Amino acid sequence: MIPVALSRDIAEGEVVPVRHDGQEMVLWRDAVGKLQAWEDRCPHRGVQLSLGFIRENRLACLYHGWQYDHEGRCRVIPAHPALNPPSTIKTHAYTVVETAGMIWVTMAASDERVPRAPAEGAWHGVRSLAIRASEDETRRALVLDQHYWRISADRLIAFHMPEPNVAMVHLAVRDETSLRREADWLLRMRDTLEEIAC
Amino acid sequence: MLTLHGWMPDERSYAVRLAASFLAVPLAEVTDRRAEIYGPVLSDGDDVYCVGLVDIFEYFSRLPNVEWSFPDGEERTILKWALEGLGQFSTARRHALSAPVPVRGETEAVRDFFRALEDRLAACHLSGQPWLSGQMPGFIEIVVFPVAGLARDLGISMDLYPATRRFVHQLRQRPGFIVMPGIPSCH
Repeated sequence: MIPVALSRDIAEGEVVPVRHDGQEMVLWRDAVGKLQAWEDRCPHRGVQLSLGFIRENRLACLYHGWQYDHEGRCRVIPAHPALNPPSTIKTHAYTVVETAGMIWVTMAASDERVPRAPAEGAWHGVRSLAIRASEDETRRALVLDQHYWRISADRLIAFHMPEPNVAMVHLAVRDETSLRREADWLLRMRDTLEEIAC
Repeated sequence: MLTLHGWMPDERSYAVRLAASFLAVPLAEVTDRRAEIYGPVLSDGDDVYCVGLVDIFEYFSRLPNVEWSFPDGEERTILKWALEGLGQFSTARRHALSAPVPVRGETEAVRDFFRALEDRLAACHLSGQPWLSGQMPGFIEIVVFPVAGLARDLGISMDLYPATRRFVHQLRQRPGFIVMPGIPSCH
């Protein structure tokens, strides 16, 4: 699974774009705190759903206001209020899991086996930080070979690649009292890594 | 009655309207295209003329029943930094919106400002301080908000700036929030 954000960075009612490895997703959290991860494209005209807004606990596209419920099904077409939209109008959903203070998404089709999200237990998100470095440079710096995360002592460090030369690094820790210290550590790592990348 | 000589799509004119709305200061508006280049001007119809955001915000802070004080000390330094960022952003946005063909609007200076803003906001959040101005929003937030809210005009994706995104979301929830072209009300 790909770590794409800290849980606490997406509030209820927020709609957030996420990019990874050329794919675009929209994450949104409904009024009861449930998170959805969909392809960032309205089935109607292809506009990014991450430009949209939440109405009546549904994600509405900014272009024509088509509204999609938590299953991704179109429920309202404002231009045709009497129409019951066909069930074939549906967004493409990704599997999303919230654990260890982070949001994890799998790009696999929903009927494929979903990899288990790592690092269960109580973790506290520190921050997500964009670092101008390639994936190889980021992996070398974070000592990661294959996966997008690892646990080192009391740190859960993970990343995804929104742009080819920008890594988004997410940090969570077990000790809630060390958040500021760990944030400073992450900033120092960014500065060092960007200096090396230059 | 105070009158703002501003230009609707201008970020600095919007900052004045936003501050006035949050502070419940009645404001008449006159469209003046010059504000796009020279910034907004505030007049009271008699002899008071404030030119630019600093003068206008100082004037607002002296009005009776206005709770926000004009930033002092370290906060003044942050305000100056924010004003500089807004100026760089305004220039880049005007250039991008008036270009005859699509151009990459995000300049090096704008990118540096966004990074610094993200770091400042994240540090505030981790230290339990909800706003750059302290426990309540103030003039610094008013200067920063148009930059963060209009980022998309320069093709800046907010997935790289979660703390800035949170800031935008929180300020939009405040009573008195108003919009401008590019910052829609539906969100």
